[in-house]
Amino acid sequence: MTDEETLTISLTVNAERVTRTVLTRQHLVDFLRIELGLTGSHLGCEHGICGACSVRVDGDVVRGCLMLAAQADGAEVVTIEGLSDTGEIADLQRVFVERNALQCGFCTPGMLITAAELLRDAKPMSRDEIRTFMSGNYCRCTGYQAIIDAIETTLGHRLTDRGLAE
Amino acid sequence: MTDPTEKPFDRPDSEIGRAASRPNAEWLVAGRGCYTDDIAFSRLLHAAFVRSPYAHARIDAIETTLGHRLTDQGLVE
Repeated sequence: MTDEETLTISLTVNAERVTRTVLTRQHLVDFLRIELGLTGSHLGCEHGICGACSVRVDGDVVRGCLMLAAQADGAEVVTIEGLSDTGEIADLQRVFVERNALQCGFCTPGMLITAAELLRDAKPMSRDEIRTFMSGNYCRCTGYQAIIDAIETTLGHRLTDRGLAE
Repeated sequence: MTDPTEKPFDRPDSEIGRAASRPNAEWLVAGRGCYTDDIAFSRLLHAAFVRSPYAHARIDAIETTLGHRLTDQGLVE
């Protein structure tokens, strides 16, 4: 490295403790992708609009491109790889495939991370409310209908399981 | 020989009218796709584009000082 400022951070990523020295200017998503090889989180716009970089930090969905790795010191980070491995969204992933809610798949990790938050606090939502919740995630391929279908379907199943369906 | 009474949609092995299979979809939804920027191999170089700050001007020189300063990291000017 050059004489740029660095910081040693220690955090949990996908339930594993990780300690690294990072450039203070490195963004969280670049840290995850380059340092840890977790390339499931993607860079689309690199300025917080498209949602392809969405990751879960301390339980909340955040923009990996707007957060510095240094800010994640001491945090619990979950990427799409970790989320997928826990099985938390196995139903959603299956329905995404069934409904063809992905074409190139580039936006999909971000869509799933955001939808996972919607499903975690599952309550009855109209299609419009689902759209609004997902409005921070862009897709250039599908036209969104199949994505909303998949989330709506999965939400319905989860509410039925909990006896909360309308 | 094609049976003239057979509709195009009934031909064996025809994809017409069938849902296309997506064998990649399962690992794409697991975040395990491999896109261009996900590829890493040794001695990989990155390109940075120098853009003109002026919409219409004559180029007298292109400042590459930054490139010189980072050459020891293997970046090409």
